Amino acid sequence: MSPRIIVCDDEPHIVRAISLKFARAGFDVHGAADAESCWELLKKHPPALLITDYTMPGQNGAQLVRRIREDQALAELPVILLTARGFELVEQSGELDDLNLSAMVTKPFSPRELVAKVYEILGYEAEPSTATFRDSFTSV
Amino acid sequence: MATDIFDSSASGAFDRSSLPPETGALTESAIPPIPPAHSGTLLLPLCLPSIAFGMVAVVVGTWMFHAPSASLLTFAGCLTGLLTTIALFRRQEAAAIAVLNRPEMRGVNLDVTGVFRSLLGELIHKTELHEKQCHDLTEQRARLEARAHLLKNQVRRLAHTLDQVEQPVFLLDGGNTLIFRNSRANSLLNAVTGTDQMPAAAAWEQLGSVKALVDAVRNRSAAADKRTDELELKCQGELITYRAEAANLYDDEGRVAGVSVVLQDIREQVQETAKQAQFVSSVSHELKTPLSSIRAYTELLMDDDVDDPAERLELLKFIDEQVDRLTRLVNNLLNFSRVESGVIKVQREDTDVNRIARKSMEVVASAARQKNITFVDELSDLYLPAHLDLDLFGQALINLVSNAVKYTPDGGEVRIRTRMQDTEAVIEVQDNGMGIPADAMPRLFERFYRVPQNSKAAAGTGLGLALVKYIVTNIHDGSISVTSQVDRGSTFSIRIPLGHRDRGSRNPSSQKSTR
Repeated sequence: MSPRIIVCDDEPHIVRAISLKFARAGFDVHGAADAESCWELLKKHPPALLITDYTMPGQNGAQLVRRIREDQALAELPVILLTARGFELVEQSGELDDLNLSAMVTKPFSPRELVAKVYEILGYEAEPSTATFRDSFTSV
Repeated sequence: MATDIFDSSASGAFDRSSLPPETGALTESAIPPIPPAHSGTLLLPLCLPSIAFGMVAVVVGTWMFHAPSASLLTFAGCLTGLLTTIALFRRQEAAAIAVLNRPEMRGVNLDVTGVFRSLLGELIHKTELHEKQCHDLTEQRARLEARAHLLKNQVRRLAHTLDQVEQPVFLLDGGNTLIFRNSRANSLLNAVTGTDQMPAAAAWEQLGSVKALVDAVRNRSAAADKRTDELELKCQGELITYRAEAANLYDDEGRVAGVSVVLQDIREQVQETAKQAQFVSSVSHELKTPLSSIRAYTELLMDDDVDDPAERLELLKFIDEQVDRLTRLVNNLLNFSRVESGVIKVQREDTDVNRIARKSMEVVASAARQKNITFVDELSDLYLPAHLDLDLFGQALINLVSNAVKYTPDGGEVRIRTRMQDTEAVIEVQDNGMGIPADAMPRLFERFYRVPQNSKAAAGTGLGLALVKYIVTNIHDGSISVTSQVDRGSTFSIRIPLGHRDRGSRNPSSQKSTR
């Protein structure tokens, strides 16, 4: 069974690009357009990792992660925060301090590097190339 | 109203009591004249013992020599001599007093003063010395009084000048006592204390952060005798940011004689900086959103991650669209800065307002169709003549119509109305969209401002309405207003002067906006 990843972004093309790349890398990718639908997805199909945007209508990414950290079942979930804002977020002191983010990736980003980062976070030893990854999973 | 520089609560350099009175100059008339001679009082003590002694001598001589007539004769002779001497002395004394009292007689022959001559010489010398000293002092005093008068006038003028300064100014003396404040400072104290009844010194005590700055600068070395700080003061419930500059004031000997404090309200600067930062942030966000998709899709295509040729083409098309979107965004930014900085030359011409309105509707029509929004054309049947820059005014209308489409939910309605009213052409863009909250209304046309509640509904940089307002008011001598109700919609109304101007861009009003 492929490891599941959820991507949450209000920009559908970002969700699509990430889905394409990660599906190719052997992941089972689910997309959500806002924090609320993402939360429902998280509860229904707990993933191995979440990639979420920061700026979204309704709840923002940080609020979503806070909610995740307060949930018993999801508290330890690795999260990558994807954002078009970079240094400004750091300036908003404290907002991200206790969120225990696995990584922060600034837009525009490279899907290739994102896959490599997910590998690193999930502790996969294999080279982040599609073929190797597929093999490692078929062997499981 | 100028604050009295001679603050009743203050003491020190500007205290009225420390200045000399303006009247009461010392004059020569103040020297008391020497009283006229009273020889009776002067000579009586001399005469009486002489007469008594003479009479005793006559009685003793008569008794001893039994010659009363000779004794009486001798006594009479002596008495006559004595009286003559007395009369002489009285004359000399009167002459001496006259000489003393009348300076013009001092130069004449003093022989008439007889035995008083040497005494008088000494007295005249002393008197003249005394008179000279008096005269010098009087002159000195007059000079000081004139100088004090001059200084007081200067101080008044300075105080009046400081009252014209926009910034609150405070002066403290060496003992940290508030000795001067200009009228702005006075208003500030009233605003901080919430009353105009409190004495200035007590009100000053409430400016804790300013006082701390004064203490800090007072304890500094001469090399760093100035200190600037940003601080916040609560004025009538509102927290106002001030830049405060405190500087040591020195006396002639180089000792710290006081401290001056100048405050500057920097609310606008702070807001402007925050707005610029917000602008940079929102521009970068707007630029990064399309860039992100472009970068991600490009990489996928390069890595051959997309197998389906139709999907590949779709991604390429999307990249193309995003490049267009980025170009538009950058163009908008450039347009705004070029219009505002006057780089774009304004070329006004005679035209029909309806023509521009129609054109702008055409430009936005496809966006409206995508959202299934109906355009209702309520353009006037009349020809509405106006003198406009077609491009710029068209851009303003396009911005309004496109905003109406952007902030109206799918299936909504946008009405464009034109009409003639008095000497003006009125263009109205009305939608039944999400509307604008009342608290956002005053800032709606500010550069970079976006209605927080509506900003997520559509992309934007907060420049559109600012540009509209600039084009309408600064370039076309018109005005713009807006009415709105949340969830009901908004109506933007532009008013511009009616009429053609044949002289075209040579017209002064047209030239005015062409910088």
